[in-house]
Amino acid sequence: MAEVWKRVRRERQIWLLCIPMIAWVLIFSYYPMYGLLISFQHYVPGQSMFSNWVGFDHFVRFFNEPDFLQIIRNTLVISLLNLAIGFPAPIILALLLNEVRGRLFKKTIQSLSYIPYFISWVVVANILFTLLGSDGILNDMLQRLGIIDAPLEFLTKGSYFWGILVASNVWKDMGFSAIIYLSAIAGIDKELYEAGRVDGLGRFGLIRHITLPGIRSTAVLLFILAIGGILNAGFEQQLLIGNPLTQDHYEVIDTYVYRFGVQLGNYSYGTAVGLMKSGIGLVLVILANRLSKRYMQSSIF
Amino acid sequence: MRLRISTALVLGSVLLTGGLLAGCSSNGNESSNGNQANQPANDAQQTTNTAAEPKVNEYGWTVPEKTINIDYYSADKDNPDKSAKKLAAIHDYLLEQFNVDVKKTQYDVDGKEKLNLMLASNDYPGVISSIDSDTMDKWRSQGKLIDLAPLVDKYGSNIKKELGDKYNSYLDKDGKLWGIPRGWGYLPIPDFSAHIRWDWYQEMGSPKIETPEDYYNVLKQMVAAHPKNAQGEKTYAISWNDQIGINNVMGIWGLKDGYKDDADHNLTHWLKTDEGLEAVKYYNKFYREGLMDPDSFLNKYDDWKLKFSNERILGHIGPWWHSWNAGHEVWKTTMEGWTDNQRYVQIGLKAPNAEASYLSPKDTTGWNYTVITDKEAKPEDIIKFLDFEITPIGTRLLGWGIPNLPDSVWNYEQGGKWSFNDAQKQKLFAGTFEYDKTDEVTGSNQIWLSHPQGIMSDDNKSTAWYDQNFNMEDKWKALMNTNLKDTIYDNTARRIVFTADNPLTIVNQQIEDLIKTGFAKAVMSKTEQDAVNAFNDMRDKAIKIGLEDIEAFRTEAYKANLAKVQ
Repeated sequence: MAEVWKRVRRERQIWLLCIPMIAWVLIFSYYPMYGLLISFQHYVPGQSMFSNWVGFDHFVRFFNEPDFLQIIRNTLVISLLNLAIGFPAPIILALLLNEVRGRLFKKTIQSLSYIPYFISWVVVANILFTLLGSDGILNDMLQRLGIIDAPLEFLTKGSYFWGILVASNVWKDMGFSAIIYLSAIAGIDKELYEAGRVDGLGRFGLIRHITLPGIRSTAVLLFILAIGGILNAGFEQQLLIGNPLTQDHYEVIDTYVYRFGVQLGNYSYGTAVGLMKSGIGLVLVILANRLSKRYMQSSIF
Repeated sequence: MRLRISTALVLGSVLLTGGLLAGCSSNGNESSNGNQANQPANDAQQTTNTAAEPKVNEYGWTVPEKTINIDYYSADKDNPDKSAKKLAAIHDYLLEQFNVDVKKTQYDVDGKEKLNLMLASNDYPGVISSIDSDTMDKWRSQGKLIDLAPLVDKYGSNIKKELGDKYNSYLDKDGKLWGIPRGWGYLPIPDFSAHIRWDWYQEMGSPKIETPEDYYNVLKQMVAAHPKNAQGEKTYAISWNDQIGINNVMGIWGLKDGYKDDADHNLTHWLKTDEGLEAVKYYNKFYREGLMDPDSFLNKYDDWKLKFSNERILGHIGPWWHSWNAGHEVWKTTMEGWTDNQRYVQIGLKAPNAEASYLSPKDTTGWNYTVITDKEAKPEDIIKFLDFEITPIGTRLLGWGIPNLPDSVWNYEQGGKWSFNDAQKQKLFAGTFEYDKTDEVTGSNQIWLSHPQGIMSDDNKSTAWYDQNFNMEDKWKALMNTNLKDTIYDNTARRIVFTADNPLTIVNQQIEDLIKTGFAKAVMSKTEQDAVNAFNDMRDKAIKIGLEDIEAFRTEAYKANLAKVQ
């Protein structure tokens, strides 16, 4: 303890600088967590936070819901697709951008690639309706080219929904996520590339033996965080792009919590489902971190 | 130097942390101090009361010497700026003529969520309007509401008179009254109908349309005659949008609000009836024959409106105003050489085996309530005003807005004599009446705390909805009302509340979700057999979720309500 105190005193200026941030985290991230208590209660707004205890009833109820398996399936499928396609996509884009030689061209492409990140889901949903609706541009084009006779029901068929959702997620986030990898690439010592070239490495060799190992720790960090958010399969995109005909493919944990917890005033139930989701996320982060530590010698804690 | 760095760091940290904490501090104390500060001022004002003769204004309201303050939150979701703009004129009028200062707060958020937040934070005003039964019960159980029965006994003779026998139905089992209903009463005007494009229907020789089958045949012929719109786009006989209730549609097949009601008042959900299957097959036929808009269940109202006004959808089954709003009201301004017959007329449909067509259920209880909370210092003043508002003249003033202005919809003379403003009436018939402008100038229906929407007790024909007062004078409205007069019915006894703590609330929501998805899938099946299979599948799933529990719960509530009414 004395050792810790001594260290704190030695690093007091850094600690002083950190005080506002620590206060911020405590007030806005930890203090509200007392609200999680309501997931073990039958909470009625205005009543005491320490009454009407129901134990794990809300959790049990969620597991017994007829839609439970469907919701978990949708959440996992959408998340895994996002991870499988959405995780490598910005790495590939960053590698490609790094290989572009023309500075102006590179900057232009980079700027254009992250603009979609700033477009709201409401606008994206409207773009999708214009593009993929039965009177949309794509159907119109395919019909004019004689490829199809009748419009394809892109937006009303559940089987298309996951693909459309993941594609729009990737389109929206890829450019912005690539910035992180580009900055990691920029931090790689240029002399390593010189040495690689002297040793006879070509472009792909440089990427494989220098660039990829150079961004590995960044990629691992982002991968572990992505694993933690594996049950965050989206929310507003589901509600905006989905419709009654695709509901059995779009309903995920977050939309379920919103509709059955918040909208029906069932706050305890909604909190319980949300807490369960966060708990699973935390366990997954710890597991991914351990695996990464063991097999890749890289971890975040 | 080191000292300066440390001092700067300490100061910076203190300022940032202080700022952070200050931002989080509650303003509860401030408001509470504010209230306390007002109290002595009010008391002081009270002591200066003189014993002068009370002044009675032209509406029969005894103008109080001390201003009555009504500070209320309306749980109806609306844009606060728009709401404030429309309130301004009537606020000033009431302050000047009645010495009543009405402050209304409204937000563009879900009212129920806001009320829950108010309850949890203990930060709420003295009066709340548009509160539903479930939320009202939640507030009552926590002791936040005042029992209004003794106040109504003392100051609310008009409330009792106007509500009549219904008054007792609002009392709880202990005889306590927790809320005054708003928008109550029976207004026999239709809500839901089938719609027919009038000029094209006339061109077809106006063939008989009584049954769903007749309607299908006419629409099919109409699409054959107009396969493309002016822009060359394909037309459809029928579509759907997010404002159409499946339960209303089922009325065509003789079901009341989605349920079959037998002689003993046992309710059976449409999913378990042949009528429900017939309805699904009916829509499926449109789909299979390429007569139904493929985006039917994707359409929000605005998407549908665009297609409808572009003449891509030729028929409609839905609320009556849909085809006004998306039809001739648009065409008047966009269509060159528009004629009066280029519009839709609302008609009733009745399946051959149905005893009647039940398209427009009416709940006379009212939409929701106005309550007085424990924070109201002068609840008796609030009741006095609600008591005035509920009278026919109070309803006219608050419903139709300020009279005697050039843009007013009515004129009022002392002694209770009133008349409609003919210029505005003509504008209404001509379709040039400006609703928003009138609302802003006269404040019509901007304050709605207790007045009815049903017909007024003094003449048995006026209603607070200004534009619904001339239905039989307007050619097209008269035609609609005549066509649909047998489709309107009193559905008050079917009123039911699914409270948040009732386990059936989630079951009910799950079934509604299932139906929304299942109905769309069944209708959009490639073959009739597929549609039947989808219907059966939906029914079986609903039963598994708990449809029969919902039926039993509804039946029980229905019978209890009927017993109360009788």
